Amino acid sequence: MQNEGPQLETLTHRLSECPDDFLLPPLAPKTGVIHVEALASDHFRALGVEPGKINFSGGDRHQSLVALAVWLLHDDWFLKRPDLAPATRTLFSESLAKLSLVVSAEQCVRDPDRREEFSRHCLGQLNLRPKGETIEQALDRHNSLDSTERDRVMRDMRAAEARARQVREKMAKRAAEEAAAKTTRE
Amino acid sequence: MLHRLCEHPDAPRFNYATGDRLWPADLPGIAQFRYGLEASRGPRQPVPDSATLSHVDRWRKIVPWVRENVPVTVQLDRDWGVLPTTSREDIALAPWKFVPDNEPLDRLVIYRTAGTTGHPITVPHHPVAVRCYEPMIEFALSRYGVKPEFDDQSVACFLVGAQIRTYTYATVLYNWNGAGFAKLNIRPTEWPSEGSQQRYFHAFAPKFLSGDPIAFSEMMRLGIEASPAALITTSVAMSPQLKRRLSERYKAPVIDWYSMVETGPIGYACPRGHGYHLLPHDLYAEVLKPDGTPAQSGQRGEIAVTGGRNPLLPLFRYRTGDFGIMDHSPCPCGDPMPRFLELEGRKPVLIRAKDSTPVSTVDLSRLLREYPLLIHEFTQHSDLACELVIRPLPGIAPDLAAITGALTRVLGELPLTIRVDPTLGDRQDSDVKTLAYRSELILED
Ligand SMILES: [Zn+2]
Repeated sequence: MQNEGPQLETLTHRLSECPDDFLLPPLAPKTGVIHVEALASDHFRALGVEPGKINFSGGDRHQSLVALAVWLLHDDWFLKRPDLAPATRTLFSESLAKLSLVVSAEQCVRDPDRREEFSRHCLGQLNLRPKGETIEQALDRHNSLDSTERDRVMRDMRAAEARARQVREKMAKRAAEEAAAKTTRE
Repeated sequence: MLHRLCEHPDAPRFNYATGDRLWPADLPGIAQFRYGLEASRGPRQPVPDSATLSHVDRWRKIVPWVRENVPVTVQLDRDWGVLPTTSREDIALAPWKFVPDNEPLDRLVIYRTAGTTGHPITVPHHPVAVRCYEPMIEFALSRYGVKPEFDDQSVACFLVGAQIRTYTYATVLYNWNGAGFAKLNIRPTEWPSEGSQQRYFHAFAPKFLSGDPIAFSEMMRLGIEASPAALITTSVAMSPQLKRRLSERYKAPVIDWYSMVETGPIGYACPRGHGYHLLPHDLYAEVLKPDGTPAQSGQRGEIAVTGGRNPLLPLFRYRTGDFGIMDHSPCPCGDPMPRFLELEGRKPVLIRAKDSTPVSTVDLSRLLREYPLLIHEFTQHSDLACELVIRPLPGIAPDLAAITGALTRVLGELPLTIRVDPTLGDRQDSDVKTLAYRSELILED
């Protein structure tokens, strides 16, 4: 998030205008329509770099998010910056795989919060923050929207509360007991 | 050994019982730490090393605080400088948020510390982490040419205290071949008869001493003889005069020790006097600006540490409340680890001269060190009037007129009162540290 990117509104607006074609099921041996790998290769060629292989470890949902990211980033602001290519590759191969576990491409187009989250997620991976925001603001907003984080927190909240209680009780009990001998003052 | 320490006719009334709480299964881990302390020393970069990054990456899954505040989507190496920091307030509010989910609690021990703010916090700790102190002490001693041989027929160390109320106990330490160790309060009220302390020290001849400036100074005043190979001093910055007097009196080096309950030992004074070297190899230290981003090289800021070895309190950009400058350049003493320069264990306090120009507490400290003071407490009120309470070195009457003159040269003609208080620092609560500087002026950006 060190560098300033385009304005957030430009990106969320672009997402809202994403043609339905990008959301069609990705091409697979027997089913599907759109060839996401070809879309991605096109994008890298437009950036002026060798396409290279994308690892779609997250399956169809992952591929759909990559298709959506290609739509989002296939814009003059990004295409004029070939230095973003390595980070873009990591975004496509790794971080969108994780994101695909909790959010779908469809949601990232239809739901305003998810549009913002997806835009921020892509910017963040490219070491960018929305124009006009400080690093702190961008990080803050990103965290509060982060589905990956929130989803897990929801799932683990019960376990976390139980664990906190357990530690608290143990600490209270041990506070009255002997500690270990310490050889210096602090 | 333990029996001898407790049953000696001059033994103090120990008020606590504890041991090193070491288990046989702990030994390989401690041996590994001891090895790393020497083998992993080397120059450090002003960015987190890969071991630190991989620890933090793991904590994102198992340490509640880190999980909540450092999302998995953040790239640690790239975004390190803008990540949030932790402080004693976080530990005060919810210490359990730092205890990893998968860490067994059966060996949890608790230490309480007041730090400089006076509000005690409860620190979850682990005996293995505490037992790593011994290798670190040995390392610091060896840097001063001191290599004591420990055995179960002798006493390794007395931890000397001089407080109204403090825990005292005796034990033996497996790490030091079963040598004896005792935490003592040398105040006369704790001992069976007059001269007991002197005889007890003489009978057990500890190989080295640890303590704080107040305790060591009291030791001299009480005429307690000892022939330690070194004195390790902690808690409050020691004046050069006291250090010299102690060193001459006990014919041994005085080693400044920078350590906190929450972090464990952080640094030891360079034997050539070039600041404090980072001591443990498994701690990443950085100096932060007030906004939490890393300070420029050579810029003064708050010291923060990440890593450590307390399995129940992993440290993540933990702000120590101590300020200094970090120097990564090679040191002539030969220790390749970076150094903290101009280390001051307190928040920056705003002091203003009569014409309103800010006066640095570093400068005031430098000025006050010219006088034979044990500790001092300097307060500036909102009307700029100043008050200095001093505890002189025992047996020396400081020249109050000279101190007034020196302060006036720096501060201008401000109302200034100086008071001598020989009990300054002797708080009822033994864990409250004296604040060297206070100000009622508001620090503005
Ligand atoms: Zn040095």
